[in-house]
Order: sequence, then C-alpha cells, then structure tokens
Amino acid sequence: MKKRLIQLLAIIMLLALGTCVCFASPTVVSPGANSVHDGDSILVSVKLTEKQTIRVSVIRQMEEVKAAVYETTVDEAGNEQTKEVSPAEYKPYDASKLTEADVALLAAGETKDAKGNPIKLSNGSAVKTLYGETVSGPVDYKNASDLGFYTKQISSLKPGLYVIQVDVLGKKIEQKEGEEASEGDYEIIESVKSYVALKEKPKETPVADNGIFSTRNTALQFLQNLLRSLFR
Amino acid sequence: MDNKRVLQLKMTVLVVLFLGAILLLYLLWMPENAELNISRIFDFGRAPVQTMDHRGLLVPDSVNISRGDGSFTLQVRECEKSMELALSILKEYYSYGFLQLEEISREQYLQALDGFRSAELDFGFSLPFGFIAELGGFEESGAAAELLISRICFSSAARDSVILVDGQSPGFWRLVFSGPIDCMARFSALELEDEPALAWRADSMLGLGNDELLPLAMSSNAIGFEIRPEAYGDEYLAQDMAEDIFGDTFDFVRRISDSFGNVTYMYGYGEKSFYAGIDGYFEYTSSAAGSEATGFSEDLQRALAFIEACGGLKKTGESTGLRLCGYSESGGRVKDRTFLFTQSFGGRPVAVTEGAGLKVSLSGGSITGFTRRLYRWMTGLYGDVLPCAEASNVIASNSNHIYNILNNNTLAAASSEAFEFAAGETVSMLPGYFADSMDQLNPCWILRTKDGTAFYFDLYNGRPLGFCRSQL
Repeated sequence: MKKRLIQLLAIIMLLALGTCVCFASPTVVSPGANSVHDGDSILVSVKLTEKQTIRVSVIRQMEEVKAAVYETTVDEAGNEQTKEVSPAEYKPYDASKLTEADVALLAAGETKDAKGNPIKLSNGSAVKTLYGETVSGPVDYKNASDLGFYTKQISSLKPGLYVIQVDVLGKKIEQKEGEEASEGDYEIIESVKSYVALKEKPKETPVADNGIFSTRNTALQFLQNLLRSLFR
Repeated sequence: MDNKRVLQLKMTVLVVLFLGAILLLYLLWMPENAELNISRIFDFGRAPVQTMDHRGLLVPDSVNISRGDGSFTLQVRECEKSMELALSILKEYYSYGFLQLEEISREQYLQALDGFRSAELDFGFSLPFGFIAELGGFEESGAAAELLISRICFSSAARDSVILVDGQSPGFWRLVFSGPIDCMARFSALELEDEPALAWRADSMLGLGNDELLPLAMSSNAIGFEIRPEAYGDEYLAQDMAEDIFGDTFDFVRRISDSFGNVTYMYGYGEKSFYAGIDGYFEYTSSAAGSEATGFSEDLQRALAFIEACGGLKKTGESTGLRLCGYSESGGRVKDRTFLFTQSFGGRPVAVTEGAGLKVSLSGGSITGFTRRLYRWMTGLYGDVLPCAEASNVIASNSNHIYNILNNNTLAAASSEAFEFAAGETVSMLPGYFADSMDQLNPCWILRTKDGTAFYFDLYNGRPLGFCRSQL
C-alpha cells in the first residue's frame, strides 16, 4: 500500500514538473546575445513558442558622470528630511572599443569578482554600473499562435551599448480607486534581456584594401576562362 | 421616277434587309455571354493583337538595396527603372574594357552585399548572361555569355566589378573591368514613387541558417477583384488557336468535345493535340521535336512568335504585358528549352493555379508544348492601405502546410521540425497576385522554395490560397 502511494505521488510530482517545464521563455533571435554591430540600425526579432503577450523595449545604457547631491535637514519636530540639491548626470556608455567578450561581462552586471577585485574589460577599464534610458518602446505584442515572431527594425540609433528587454506579461493588475492607468499595469512573469554594442560604420574602403576579393592566381583564372570559352 | 431608279432602290432595300437578317440571326444564335463582334459577322480578319517585344520581358522580381549594415530595402514595384539603370551601367563597364571573370565564394558574395552599400537585381530564375548583354546592347561573347545567372549585383566593395549569381546551382562570379563606376550613387538617385519595404536576412529574423532575404513589416493597398478568363465571351478563340496551330492540316484534325464543352483537337494518332477548356485553359503538345542547334534568343523569339500566332495578347484595360518568369534548358548542342511567362498587375506578377500563365517548350527549335491560362480585367481596384501579414509569421503559422506538401506527407510533424524545414527551404517571399479558380484576383504573398514550388498566402491574414509545384 505504501509502495503504491509513493508511486502515485511520484506520478503526480512528474505531472506537476511537466507543467512547469511547459512554460517557454521568449527568445531574442536578433540581435544575437552580446553581439557587436556596425551601423545605426538593428533588427529586433523575438521568437515566441506559445500564446503570450510580450512588452519589448530598447534601452540605451548610460554611465553616471556626476552623482546626485542630497541635502539633509532637520525640521522643528526633529525629523530628518532629505532633499535632492542637484540631480545625477549621465552620458551614453562608450561602446566604440567593446568586443563581444566585453559585452558579455557588462551583461553579467557584476563589477567585482569572487575575490573582490574589479572586473576589467579588454581595454583595461573596469566594469561599471550602468543605467538605462528607453529609446524605443515599450511596445506590447500579442502572439495568438503556438509559434510567432515579433520583428521590428529600429533605425537612426547612435553608437552605444543597448539592451533589448522583453517582458512576458501576465494578468492585469487591478487598479486601486483614484489611481490612473499606467503602462506598467500588467504583472511581469519573466524578463529576457539581450545586450548589443552598436559601433559607427567604418568608411568604405576600395577593393584593394577591404580584403574581400583577394587577388587570385591569374594564370589559373586565365586557364579557367579559356576552358569555359572552348567548351561552351 | 423612272424604272431604273425604282429597281436600284429595291435592290438597296433588299441588300439592307439581307444584311439585317444576318445580323438578327447572329444575335439570336450567339452564346449568352458572347460580346457583339462585327468583325465576326463580316470577317474582316483577326482583331489586332499586342505585338510582343522581348526587350520589356525581363523585369526583376525585386531590387534589394543594402545600406551596408545588414538592413536592406526591397523594391518590388517600378523595377523596370532599376533594370534600365543596371543595363546602362553594364554597358558603361563594357565600354571601359572587360578584364577577367573569376569565381568567388558565397561568403565573399555575402560580405560584398551585406557589409557595403550594394544593389542586387533578383530575377527569381536563371537565364544566360548573354541575353542580358543583348538587352543592354553590349557585346559579351566570352565565357560569361553562357553563364546562367539569376542575380546581378553592384557593390561599393568593388567599384570595378559586377557580381553575378546563379541562385539555383548555386554559383558566384565576379566580372572585373578596367574602370570603376560609383553604381550606388546612381541607384540612390533613382526616383521611385513607392516607398520600398525593409528586409533582412532570414537567419537574422528567424534564427536559422538561411541567408535569403525576407521582407519585414509591409503595408499595401492591393485588394481582390473579379477577373475574366481571356476566352470569356469569345467562343471563337479556341477554334482560331486550333486553326493557327494545325495550319493546313486543320481539315484532317479530329475534334472531340465532352459534355462540359471542353474540346480536344487531335492530329493523326496524337502526334499533335490541342485541348481547349471552357475555363480558359489551353494546352498543346507535339511529339515532333526539331534538330536545330538554336540559341536562347532564337528560341525565345520562336516562343513569342508562337504565342502571338496562337491567340496573341489582347491588350484590354489595365491587364499588362507579359514578363518572363522562368526558364530551363537541357541537352547538349541541340537543346530543350522551356520558357514561363506571367501577366502582371500594378508591377506585381499574377500567378494562376498552374503557376505561370503561359508556358512554351521547345526541342531543337520546334515547339513541343504550350499551356495558356490568361485573364483580362478592365479596371484594377485598390483599397485603403493596410498592414500585411508579416513574412516571418506567415512562414511560422503555415510551416506544417509547407512541410506536408514538400514531403508529400499527410502526417503532422512536430511544429519545431516543420518550422525549421519550411524556413530552411524558403528562397524568396514577395507580394503578388493569385488568380483562383473562382476568377478572383487576390493579393498574396508568393513564397518560393528551393525545389521551385510556389505557395500562395493571403497578403493580409496569411492563410493559404494555393500552391503550385515547379513547372520546369
């Protein structure tokens, strides 16, 4: 009897585990994770393998130049009050020298390693804490089939480090009385992020320098052309 | 009034009455749907047909302009302008002097196109480069003339070169010339009325190893409208075509008609046969192959002459001329050739249930096969601009349909397996029109696969409308 009960429990556990595994996360197909691109436009392509609603945002990564200054005062009742004197200043993170490995380190978000030493990028600079500024979106997209894609080209982007953030939306959060409806009124089940560094497109170089068409053995080429002409 | 005058008056009245009787009899017995055609009553000869010139036959399916950052714009209308420009650039290159032809790799081709500003004219099928030289009015008698190519590319990666691509084999070549031309400045200066669609490589969009281009979000004002088979109201078309095909031997041809009204004309024991369906489908087959060693252009001229002689092309309303949309050749010195032609509307190809509207096969310079299903329409219709179904989602939602048809399989495959297969097999996806069996012209996506099968999906909701296997 006890053995049967254990078997039954095991089956129930397996079924429960199965339903958990069924939940499929969206995949950011493009831009590739931790990739580096030349140019000012990117293709955002998100693959969805179940019926779900997603919210897609393109966020530019900024670094802090000057920290915010706060002033603390004590009122007559003896309560401390903090007031911002000057706001923090940010500038776009310079991605011109980033490699794919650097983007991966920045995506991990860790500034120090296990020993407490600062993590460094390939150019020797330390990994910094970055802040986001939304440049495109958020856009909500509802996938009504078992397999679907959200695709959009984002153009006229400036060079920098960008994050494609995909939030899987759940139930609508009920608004309290007196509160205004906002874009964030959905429960976010899961967030997927993909980092991409965008660099300025290098100037086009003439054929001799761009290395695409290397000079081939001209004698062999001549022979090939001759044979083609003879047997055509 | 003297007797002579009275007699003349009587004669005139008699002639008028006689002619009136003929006209009334014709009106009484003519078929319900037939249009009144005076030339039929008093046989003045055939109605004039559109003269066919091979110069306007070749129009690219799409012109793909790269910005050099992986993104493309896809021009599917007004491609004639780009074709003219490409021919003039090629002529200029040849005037500088041709240096060499070299084979390049697929990687080099992709690098030159994706990493640099470039323009690619995609014809959707392969044809000899020598024919393009003939159209452009420049001489190419060397090895390049015999290359079968489906794409011509100009890239700022190599301003002294033209890249030729055979998408079917596949093969990639580079023609190197003595002088450089800034082709991209000329393509950028091309004034187009339509805003081209954006496109990316399929592997960027779908995440699978396919480097063909797929359009991104598109919008269109195309709507469906009713059309008529070309034989509608012209009950003499079939007989005229039969007379033209069989010529002097028409008196010895057997005419077999079935209860539906379809007619088969047969000469001898089936050496030559011509089928005329009441739905406007015509088919001719002949077992008499020729033995001449003809060239591409010569065979094309013969095919056009055959079309012109057998029904021709009646220019009515907005139905436009023909476009060459497929070609195949086989054999050695004496070649078998097949040409496919399609009608077009609003710069987009019109596919029919058989695929292409016209197919002409030649063997050794003689016509051995001919199929024809053409339509006519007086006024095309356009509606409001609406967003089209996204190409990626059309493939995703129809992947099982594509998988089953390409594998002749009625069992459903796992959705991921079917999707990977369908996405990997896709060669192109462009907007067009599909004429269904209910005589309705529907705006559609035309998805072509590696084996030449064409799938037609509704342009706005992505539902399947039909498919057609390769006719070549």
